[in-house]
Amino acid sequence: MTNGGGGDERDRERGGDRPPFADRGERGGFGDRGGFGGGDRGGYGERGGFGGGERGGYGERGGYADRERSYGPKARLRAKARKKARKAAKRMFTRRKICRFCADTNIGIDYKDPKALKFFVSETGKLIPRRISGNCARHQRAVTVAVKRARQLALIPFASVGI
Amino acid sequence: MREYETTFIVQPEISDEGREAMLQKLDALIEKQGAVRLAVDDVGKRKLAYEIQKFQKGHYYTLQYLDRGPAVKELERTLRLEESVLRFLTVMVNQEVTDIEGRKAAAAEEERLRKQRAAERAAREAEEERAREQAEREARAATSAAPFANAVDPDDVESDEEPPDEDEE
Repeated sequence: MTNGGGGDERDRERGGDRPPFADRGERGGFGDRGGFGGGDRGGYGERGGFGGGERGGYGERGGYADRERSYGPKARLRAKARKKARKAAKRMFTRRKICRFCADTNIGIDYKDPKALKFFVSETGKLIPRRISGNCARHQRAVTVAVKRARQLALIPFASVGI
Repeated sequence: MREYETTFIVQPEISDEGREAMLQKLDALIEKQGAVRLAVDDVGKRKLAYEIQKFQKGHYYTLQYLDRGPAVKELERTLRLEESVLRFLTVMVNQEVTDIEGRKAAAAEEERLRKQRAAERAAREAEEERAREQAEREARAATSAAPFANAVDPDDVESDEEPPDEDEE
């Protein structure tokens, strides 16, 4: 009868991980089978695995088997931990940048000042993205407009042959 | 009234008088259109980031004024017709200026300061230029007084030539 008991336990365990009504009927069916099998369980050729209490035994149950294996409670925990670790690693490498125009409200953005605008264009004259320059959205917009104006006035190049 | 700012680039070859005349013409135009002229910033000659009409340099001016609309149109038309203007750009600086007299005074003050600084810079540069010339003249005088002094410099490394030269100096 140990087999039958083991089956019930597993069922309950798995039930905890699933939404409550996901597979009521089926589980019920298994309960029946477990009970029915009784001591003869080993005798069922196809169900040999089940008797051993291994997960593999569930294979016969069809579609659930695969999902069970890869997304069991432990696997899920492991996946969570991995995700957390990834996030932490990311945070380690990116220092939070502060928008320099927000930090010091005295500096304005002037399209007539090519020296100041140089910080926001690459060597080839392209605009540097916000994720690198660290500007906030509002000031990046202002910088973009200023750079475009300065280009029209031939204060900074549209493009220059780089390197 | 709105505050506008028109920056334009004049060909570098235009003479001071020509540029002055043009500025006066623009000032008159602004006043005629019922706008308020605030200030002119003479940025000076600077290198263009790229060639415009085969010119490598340009003389930059920024004209500030208050207007309700008509002057901008007229000014841009004039600049477009002016052959010596390489490029211009008008930007609205302030949507609504209520204290016109106050803004005018502030702009006049700014312009005065700018001119003062420019004059100082010019004076300093002239002074440096004069000092450099003075130094050059002295150097030339020294070389003419001792004609062999020049010959010493390139041959400094050759020891056999040095003693007689130094004696002559």
